Amino acid sequence: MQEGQKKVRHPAFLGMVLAFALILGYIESLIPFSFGIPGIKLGLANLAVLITLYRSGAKEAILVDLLRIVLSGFLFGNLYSILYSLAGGMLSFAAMVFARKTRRLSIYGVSITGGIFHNIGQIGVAAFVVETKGLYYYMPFLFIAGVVTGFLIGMLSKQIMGRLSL
Amino acid sequence: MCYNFFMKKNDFIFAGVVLAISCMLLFFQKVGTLFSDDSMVCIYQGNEKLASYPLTGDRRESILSPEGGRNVVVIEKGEVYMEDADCPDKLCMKQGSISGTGQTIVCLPHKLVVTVENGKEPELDGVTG
Repeated sequence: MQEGQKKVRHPAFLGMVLAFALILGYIESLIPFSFGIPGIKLGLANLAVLITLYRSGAKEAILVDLLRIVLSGFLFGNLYSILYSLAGGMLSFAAMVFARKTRRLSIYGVSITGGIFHNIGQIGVAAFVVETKGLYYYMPFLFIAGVVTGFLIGMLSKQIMGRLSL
Repeated sequence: MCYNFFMKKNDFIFAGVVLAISCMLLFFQKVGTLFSDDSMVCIYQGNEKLASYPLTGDRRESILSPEGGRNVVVIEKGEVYMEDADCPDKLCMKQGSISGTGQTIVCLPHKLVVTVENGKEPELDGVTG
């Protein structure tokens, strides 16, 4: 958050961001974005979560993130996809809050942290459900993917916040 | 409003460290598969897979080919070699012992191929979202 900028805690703003997150999740489900490796995705919805984290705070952001996961899970997925998303989403959220607290990283670094830990959370659940340690073989790929998608989402967040003066 | 396009120095360092760790992990995985315990010794006759045995267990197998040839494949101490063959050139015996993934011993007269394959083929299935 920049100097002299007020935190946005208005319910209408949070509602709008939640709607934004849901739409982004839907758009992402339309994009055939796959490398043949489970767990890798663009994470467009993280855009909304990042903006909330930066413009409102951690409490508001986790609310948006949880509601987004549950709602989009029931709309486009099933109970299992909610489980996967929750693991990835909560882990990445905690990591992003921590990364931001260090005050050493900009929104890029925070977004990259989120991307990496989202993938770690998902592969963790997958390894737990499938009970295959072989899935950890994909860890390096998921790290690299997390850096790339995190960078893209960080850039988009920065642009959106700058251009909309949020 | 002022906003810059680029990452800060710390972000670059962070991203660089993560990428470096990933590359190291990839490298060690690649090295690891060369010595991995779940390598399988696969024996082919022509295009047909006759058998496959784990590289770790010692065993001695006689393989009879349809034309009447006989080869003895020995797996010992994580290595495979052709102990005996009744082909005229005995080239397969001269190929020595193999252990790394992708290495092969070929007995051309009997159309026999012994190769080390990486047995690990994790199934990719599951829902992510």
